[in-house]
Amino acid sequence: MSRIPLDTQYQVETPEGIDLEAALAGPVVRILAYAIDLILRSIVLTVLMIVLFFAGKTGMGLFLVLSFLLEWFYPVLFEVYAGGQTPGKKAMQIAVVNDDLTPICWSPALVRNLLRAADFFPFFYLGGLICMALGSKFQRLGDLAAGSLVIYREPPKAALSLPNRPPRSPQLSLSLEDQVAVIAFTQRHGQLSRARQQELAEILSDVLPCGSDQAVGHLQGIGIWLLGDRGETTSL
Amino acid sequence: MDLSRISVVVRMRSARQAIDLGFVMACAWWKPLFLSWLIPSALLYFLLTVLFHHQSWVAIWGVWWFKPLLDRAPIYIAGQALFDVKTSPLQCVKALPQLYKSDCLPWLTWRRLSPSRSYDLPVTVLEKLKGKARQSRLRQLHRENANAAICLTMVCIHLEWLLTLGAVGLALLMIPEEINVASQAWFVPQEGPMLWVQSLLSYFAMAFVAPFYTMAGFALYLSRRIDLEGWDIEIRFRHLAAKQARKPAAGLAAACLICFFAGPSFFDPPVWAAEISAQNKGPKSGSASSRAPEYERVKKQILEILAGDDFHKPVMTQGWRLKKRDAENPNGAALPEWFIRFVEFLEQNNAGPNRIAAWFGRGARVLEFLMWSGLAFLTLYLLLRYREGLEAFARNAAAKKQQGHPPNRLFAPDVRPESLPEDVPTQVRRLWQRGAARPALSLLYRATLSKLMHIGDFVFHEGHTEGECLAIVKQSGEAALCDYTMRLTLLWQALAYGHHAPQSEAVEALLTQWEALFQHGQ
Repeated sequence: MSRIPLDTQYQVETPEGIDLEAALAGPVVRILAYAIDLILRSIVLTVLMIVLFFAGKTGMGLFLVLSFLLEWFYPVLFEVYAGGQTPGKKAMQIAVVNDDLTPICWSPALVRNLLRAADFFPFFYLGGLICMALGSKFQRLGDLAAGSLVIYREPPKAALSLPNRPPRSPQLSLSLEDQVAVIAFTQRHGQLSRARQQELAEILSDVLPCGSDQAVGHLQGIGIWLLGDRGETTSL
Repeated sequence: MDLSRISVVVRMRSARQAIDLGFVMACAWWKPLFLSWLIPSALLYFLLTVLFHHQSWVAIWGVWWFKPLLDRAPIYIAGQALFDVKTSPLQCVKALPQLYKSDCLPWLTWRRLSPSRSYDLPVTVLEKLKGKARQSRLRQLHRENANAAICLTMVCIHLEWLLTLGAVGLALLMIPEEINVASQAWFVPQEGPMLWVQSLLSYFAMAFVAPFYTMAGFALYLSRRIDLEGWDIEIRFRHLAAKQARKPAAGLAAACLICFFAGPSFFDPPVWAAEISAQNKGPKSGSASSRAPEYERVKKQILEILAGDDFHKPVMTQGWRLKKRDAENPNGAALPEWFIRFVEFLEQNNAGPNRIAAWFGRGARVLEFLMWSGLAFLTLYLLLRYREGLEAFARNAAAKKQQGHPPNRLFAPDVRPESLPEDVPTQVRRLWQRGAARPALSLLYRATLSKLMHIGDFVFHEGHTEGECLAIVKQSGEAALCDYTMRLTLLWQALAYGHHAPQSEAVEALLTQWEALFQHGQ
């Protein structure tokens, strides 16, 4: 089967040679975001209808105009002025961006939302859903036409507590990925079971200068050192 | 489990991102997953249809009820595909009985309505856990991702319904309007063939959603195991261990040494170097001195390698730029000979840099003073030299400034009574005798107009010409006034525009008449 590892990351390289990365948001989370928006809109429309009901035929006319505006421009305005997030998207921590990961602007926002009519076909957004599920970048038809993407905008995770170990300098050359792995090993000491930590550390027992029974502590020390704690030697 | 062959990117994911990964997996392995669900379920559907052909609901309900078994084949195949193992159809068929049998009863009875089915199924299918072991495992797994798994199930149930209704709707759209169909009977059929059509469509909707649903649940399970077991860490550690093992034992020492010397460019230099050297002094202090020549040799080698081509990438650039003349002929005329000799003389005479600076400092003061004086002299000289021109310029500017404000009355005379002298005829005579014909006649004309306006109640506007004023007076029909105004106007026009001075007698006659008309008539 495919040799390129499967993932949902999306990468763009800027002209300056900087790689930008974002996680694409798939159908399930987008359906949930849409459902939240739909509920919000329905509540607003119900309230409007009840209020305008007392204004007779004028009220009904006004209601129709307002409901048209709400249906078509609610997402556009929120996406342009609220950083690509309607309230539903904000609740699900996703956002619309252009496909070069710049903030969405007027014309793509208009195109992707006016083309919801195409995505709606034949009923209940089935066209858009199938397009999203089968496409490589989770884009519905409106997204394809507008050149927009929906990505995750999750808040950064809280810092994890570190084990209490003296920092140790690594005595072998570690590539960047290796350093990240050692740091992850240190940071996730609370998540990984003790046996599993031992198992992981023993993989490196031939490389580490200590015995395999001290390997976990030694690796955690290296991780703390890599995170910047130099212990007593900082004064040097 | 060979993690080096894993076919997804191993990293920490949030639950929602894991579900998305599941969708990607479902698309990538679509065919085997879809078929492995479709074929057994089609058999079941067909069997139930044959057995209960009077009740169409039994077939679709049966397939729906057996989902916990039907979902196992895709998970099994995905478990293989994850480690890049392709499952042949034959292998799959052979594995199926075992798959369906394990823990079959609970899944079809009290666990049938479990909302986190796709998340829990891999424990049964891939880990083959039952009873207590399964429960403790699930407890561990459910600390994360459980809510997402329930959400996933809810969304997928709705998706199946939407797909069914959408397919019915699409079919309705294709029927011409002329044919009268009760569309309600299509969406909620009560009897007849429509029931079977809807049952079949629901079945296909289930088959279409199943790979996505199972894969999303499998991805949640996978992501949880990556978190719990640190798969990403294991992959990197194994990679690192393999990399180190490839090097011969002596090479390891050399690598350490190279790191020691090349270290400063990669790591924080002082601490690291200090620690390494401290260690060398520590346990192996005896061999430290014997290693010194080796250090030197390695250091030399490193410097040679660093100086080599590998670390110097020649780059050729083409383009236009200014030539540096000094560089072209170093003895050229950029600096005059005497200046060079002068500098040499200063150096030879022990003029230290401080003294040179002091000397130049004093010189610069003098130069500054000279330049300021020069500027002052130049300004003065220019002012004197061009004083006339400047004066004329200043006057012009003043005149222009005056012209800038337009006069209140340019052509229309001032006809306010207060602007006129008390005794107009006397004043006019005085002016006339002095030879000032124009001011005299002008004054008389103005006075006449003023009297006409303020005594005779004629209405003149600013824009009226002499002729128009005359016409207004004529309209009133007062013969004496009319005749007088006409004569005066003609005389005034002859003088003002024709530069034709009137006779003294005519002026005298006008003045006399003026007195008769305006002064005595008051």
